[in-house]
Amino acid sequence: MRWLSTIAIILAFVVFFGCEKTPTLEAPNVSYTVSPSDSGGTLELSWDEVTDADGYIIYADGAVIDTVTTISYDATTPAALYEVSAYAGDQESDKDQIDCGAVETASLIVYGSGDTASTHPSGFGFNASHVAVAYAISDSTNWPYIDYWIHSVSSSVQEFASPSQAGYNSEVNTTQNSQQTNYDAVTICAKPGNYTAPTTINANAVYYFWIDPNDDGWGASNDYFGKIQVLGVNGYQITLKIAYQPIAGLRWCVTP
Amino acid sequence: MKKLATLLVIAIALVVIGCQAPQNVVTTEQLDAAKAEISALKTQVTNLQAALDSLTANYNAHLEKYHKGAAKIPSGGKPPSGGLKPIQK
Repeated sequence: MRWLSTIAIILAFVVFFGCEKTPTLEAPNVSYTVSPSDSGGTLELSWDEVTDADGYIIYADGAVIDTVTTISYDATTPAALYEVSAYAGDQESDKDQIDCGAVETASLIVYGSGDTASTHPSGFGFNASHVAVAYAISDSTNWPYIDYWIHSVSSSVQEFASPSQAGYNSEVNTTQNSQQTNYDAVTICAKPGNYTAPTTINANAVYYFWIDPNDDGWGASNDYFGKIQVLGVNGYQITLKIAYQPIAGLRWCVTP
Repeated sequence: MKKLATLLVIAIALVVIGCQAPQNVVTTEQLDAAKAEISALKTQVTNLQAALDSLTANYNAHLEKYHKGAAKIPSGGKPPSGGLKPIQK
């Protein structure tokens, strides 16, 4: 009789706990806005509350940088990828991610406007895939697409210039020498204030750039930032490496 | 009593077997879930296509508005030969 009771108790345990399934924790659905408070230095992440979550884990480029119990996070550390997951106890959901990496053009050759070969491109702009493309300024059909051009002061002195300064189009785009030569170490562009056009081009220097099409100061609608490294200068010929941040108004320029 | 014990053992066996996750068997619920997921993915693709079309239209509008509209055409396509008027912002 006693063993029968034991079996009955075991049976009761099996029935009550045997089929219990751990509920799946849903991944948060993350969206973002670019903060105007510091002119595009902060990416404000937000998401809807996940049912049963104890909190949320924030990752920057694959590494955990914070855990929060709120449903928003101000990302101030420039990164190429931000991810957010929900957690409950030791269970973690899938991550939702925001791609905030800059798009790199590994090498672009342009020539100072004083170069006598008319087919040598002196202008460059960014296409719909955010890749830099060189344009010959002698061909007026290219002018609408020019974001910068290389102005020759002499055969040995070249400058980044705005297309508005030659009338190629009305954009007032500027650059600023970062005073650094380590391209990867430049992860965020400077705030507006000291961007200029023209800007003298120095070999190896890394420049911030700011595309401000309607010349109305910083804005998160159609302003774009990035960085340019001058890989080489050979007379009029300039070789550039460029990273373009596709998120409007965001000054981060980390390449994946 | 023996009959009751046998019934209990059978009941336990049924419960244990019944709680095992089915292997290589797709249930109707799973099939319905997969169908719903495919349907949702199709909707997402449609939405993405619409977003892409919108983005392309915006990009073209941007080109039209900011790169063409107010452009002053330099004479002969030649860039200014002297110094440029400096801009700081």
